[in-house]
This record gives sequence, C-alpha cells and structure tokens, in this order.
Amino acid sequence: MISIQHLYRFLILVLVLIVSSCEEIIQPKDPQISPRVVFEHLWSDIFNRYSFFEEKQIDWELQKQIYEPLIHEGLDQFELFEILGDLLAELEDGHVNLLSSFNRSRNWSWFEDFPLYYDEQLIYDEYLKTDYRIIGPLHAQTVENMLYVNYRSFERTLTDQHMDEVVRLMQFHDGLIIDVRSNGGGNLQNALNIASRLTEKEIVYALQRFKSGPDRSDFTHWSPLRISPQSGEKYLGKVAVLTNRRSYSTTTFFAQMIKVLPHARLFGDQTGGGGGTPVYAELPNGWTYRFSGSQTADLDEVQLEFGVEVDELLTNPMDQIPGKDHFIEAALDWLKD
Amino acid sequence: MKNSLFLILFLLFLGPVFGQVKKHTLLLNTGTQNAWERDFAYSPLIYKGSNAGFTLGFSSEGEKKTDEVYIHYSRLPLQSQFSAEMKATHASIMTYTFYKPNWLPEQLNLGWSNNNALSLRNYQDAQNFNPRFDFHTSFGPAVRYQTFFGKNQQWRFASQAHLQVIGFLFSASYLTSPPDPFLHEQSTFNAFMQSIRLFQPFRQHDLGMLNQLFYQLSNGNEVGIGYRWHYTSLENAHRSQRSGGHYFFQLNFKL
Repeated sequence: MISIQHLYRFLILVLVLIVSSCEEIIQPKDPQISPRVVFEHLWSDIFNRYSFFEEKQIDWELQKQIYEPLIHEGLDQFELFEILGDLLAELEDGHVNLLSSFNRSRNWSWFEDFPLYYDEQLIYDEYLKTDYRIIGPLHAQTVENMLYVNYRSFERTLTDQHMDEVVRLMQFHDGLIIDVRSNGGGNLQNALNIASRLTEKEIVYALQRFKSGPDRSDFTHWSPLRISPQSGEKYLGKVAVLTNRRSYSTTTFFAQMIKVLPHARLFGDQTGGGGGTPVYAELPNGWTYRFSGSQTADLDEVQLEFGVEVDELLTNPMDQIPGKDHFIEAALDWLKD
Repeated sequence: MKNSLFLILFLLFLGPVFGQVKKHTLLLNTGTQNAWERDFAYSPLIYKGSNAGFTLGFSSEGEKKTDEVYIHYSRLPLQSQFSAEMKATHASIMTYTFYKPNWLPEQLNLGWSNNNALSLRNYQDAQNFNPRFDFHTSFGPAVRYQTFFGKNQQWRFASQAHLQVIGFLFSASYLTSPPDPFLHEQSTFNAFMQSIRLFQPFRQHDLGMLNQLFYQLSNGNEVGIGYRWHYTSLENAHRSQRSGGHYFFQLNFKL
C-alpha cells in the first residue's frame, strides 16, 4: 500500500515536470523567411491597410502581376530589397518606406521634380545674418521691423516657453513671417503649439479618418482636427507663412492650420503633401516598413495628401529677385500693406 | 485616481470572500516569468524574453467552497529573432471559486474562474500608434486537485487549471492604439460601449494552469514553489497571442 502511495506521488511530481515550460511547448514557429513569403506579406498588408488607392488611382493587384514574377527563391537580400522598394515606390508617397539595416527605400518625387526656391546660404547672409536669435528650434531675426522666424524641422521640440518668447518679441514688431520651406515634418504638437498662439477661439482646420478594415471603403467617420487657443499670451496680428514642395507631413498640416486663420496667409509654392499618418509594421524577415493609414482633408474634403495650395503662388520665374529671397520679399510687402 | 480605482476593484473582488467565516490566507510570490507574444497588427514574428513577475493573492477556504484572488504584474523586455525589441506589460486579476461536492473524491474540486487581463505592447520601431493593447474579461470552468502528504501531512501539492470561453474584449483598432470609436467625437462611455466585442468560444482562448508545492511551518504559514502557465489568443481587428510561464517562490500568511 505504501509503495503504491509513493508511486502515486512520484507520478504527480513527474506530471509537474511535464507541464513545466508549457509556454515553450506551445510557442508557434516564426513564418518562413523566403522571398515569396516576404513579398506576399508586404503586398497583402499594403493591399488591406493603405489609405490612398482610390485617390491615387493605383491598381495594386496589377502591381502584383508586374512584380511577383520577379520574385524567386534565389534572390539575395539586396535584390529582394530593391524589388520590394520599387513596389512600394509605386505608391508615390513620402510616408511609405522599407527599412533594413543596410538601406531605406523611398519615393521623393513629390519634391524632387520641382524647384524649391530655398537658398539657405542666401537666407543666412541676407536676412538672418550672424546675430539672429536662437529660440529653441527657431532662428529669428528682425527684418524691416517684421519678425522673421525660420523653423527647420517639426521634429525639434517647440515648447510653450519658446512661443512665449516669440509672442513677447511681437510687441516690438509689425508682423510675423514663419518660414517652413523644406521642413519635412515631425511632431504635430509642435505645429499646434504655434497655431494655438495665433487664435483666440477654437477653430476646426481639417478632417481626418482612419482605415478601419480591408475594403476600400472601410474608414472611420471623418472627425474634426482643431486648433485650441493656448491660455497664455497670443499674437493676433498678420502672419505670413512660407512653404515649398518640400514642406511635408506635419508642415502640410501646419499650412492647413494657417489657411483657416483669418489674419494669416500662405506664400510661395504648395506643400508636398503627406496627409496620411504613417503606420509601422514588420516583415517575416525582420525588415520594417511604414505606409499611410489615414486620410486628412480640408473642410471641403479635399485631400491634403496632394499638398496645400498657397494664397500667393510665387513660382513664376518672373517673380524672382536677384540677390533676394522673393518669398520673403513678397511676405514683407503684404505685412507692410 | 488610478490608485483609488485599483483599491475599489480589489475590494470588490475581495468583498464576497470576506463575507464568510473561513480560513483566510494572504499570499505573495515572485520569480522568473518567461513569455512570448505576437500581435499580427504589427508583425508575424514571435517576441520572447523573461523578467521578474509578481503576484499578490488572497484565498478564503471553507468546508465546501474556496475563493482565490490573484493579482499579477510583469513587465518584460521581449525580442524577435532579429533582435527587434518590444516592451510587454501584463497585469491581471484572476479569481477562482472551487466547490467540494460530496460525489467527488476529496482531493478534487470543481468551480469557475474569471480573468481580467491587460496586455500592453510597445514596439521599439513603431513611432506611431504605440502601445497596442488588449483588455479582456472572461469566465469559464476551473478544476483543482489538492493533496497533503508527509509524516504530519505538512506537505501540500495543489494543481489547478482553467479554460475560459465567454466574456468580452476591448482592444486596439485595425490601425491605431485607441479603438475606432474613440477616434471621433463622442462621450468616452459611448466610445467604450461601442468598442467592446464578445469573447467568442473557440475563437478567443484564455487558459492556464497553476501547480504549487508547499511546506507548512509550525506557525501555520507556508513556504513553497510553483509554476503558473497561461495562454491567451484574442481576435478583434487582428489576432494577438501570448503565453507565459512563471516560476515562483511563494509565502502564504495565515490571517
């Protein structure tokens, strides 16, 4: 009887050992890393979740027919990367990239095919000079009694304290120029930190919706994007904002904010677009990619993906002034008016 | 505010337990937790790793009924096979209620269980819509086997398991961290109600097992070791799966 009891308990202990590490026993395997599997995963995910197929009139199934025959098991990682990068480039979207440890694919045709009208050397020599103020990410200088502010990237954080200083300086200036040419975007909050100092009331500046399923029409409802006035000091005078084709993503959102402010005006060339919020994902071989997963439109439901038009277009070669930045000069003329 | 909510939830779970005259035990354990996790919204790859896990629990044992509450917390740095990183945070409140019907052998108890579990997944390479998350509340049957042995019956082995088949799920959306109803203007309550999905049998799974071996000290407290395993598979806008094994050292304080 005793030996049976011992056996019984021994079996229990064996069972305990058997059920240990269950998490490893049931762990699924990672998917295969073959070029075909990687291609299929990327193509399918973009097919299901990319947000601008209809607006851009892109037949993604046709692209599969074109690119799939190029995929075979003998491809090395560099060849595969090139084919997948070319596939994604068909989307003509600055928010679409394939990222590996050795390269990042991109399509920059939204600015590469256009003149930028932005000569940094000229701006520093003629306008900012050497004694400009550095207010966080902003470079600021008085130009003909206007405050000229140059903001290179919305990735650089703009705090309330930085904006307090800009608003304080406006006591001594007659108008404000904000230069966001070739600003490739960054954190939307930085754009809101500026716009919230330029209005006394809440303003809806755009509409946004997100992909909510694999069908072309699967989107959330349009929801308003708002500028809410900041509680601190504000500047409610005239504001000129300078943009070009390389003003992208958050800078396009910022241009749209300026567009709806009654005392502000956009000068230069339309922005490059970038109205879709980038979604990040990973392929079976560890490469990551991003793609637009939302749409943003102005209040007439015109897509910001294709850029925000300026109030004063300055792309005619006749507009240019030798030795001067004709965007800044046009803004100065309007502010003095 | 968060602390108050936590306390209220804790007391709510303990309320029915304190309401009876029973043998009460407070338990604390800690040890290594091994886990893997996969969220198809971001990647088809498994992320795995290990870190310390903690549990605070309470049990109330009567002649015919036993109630148990376990609060688990762990924060795990997980990696894919390509060394991409994800920080996983797991928190749950798990309850078991066991009954001792006369027709069953003395060592065997049947009952039910409830799990309220939150999983947050923060992917290092995803700059937007981080973290992705799931929260689920589920119910299902549970079984426990418990035996005493040793010269003075001072050793106790307990093994219990659960399989949860009904409940509800609240999780990240098709693309974004917040569920879709939170993306347009409406009250938080309405958005929450619209975001809840049913925990469907055989489509969603929450199952687990808890094996423990204790030695009773002369003052009635117990020291022991154990292994807790769980597996969760949820499907809403995308499928997510996770599993963990927690090897722990435990102290049981008789109240």
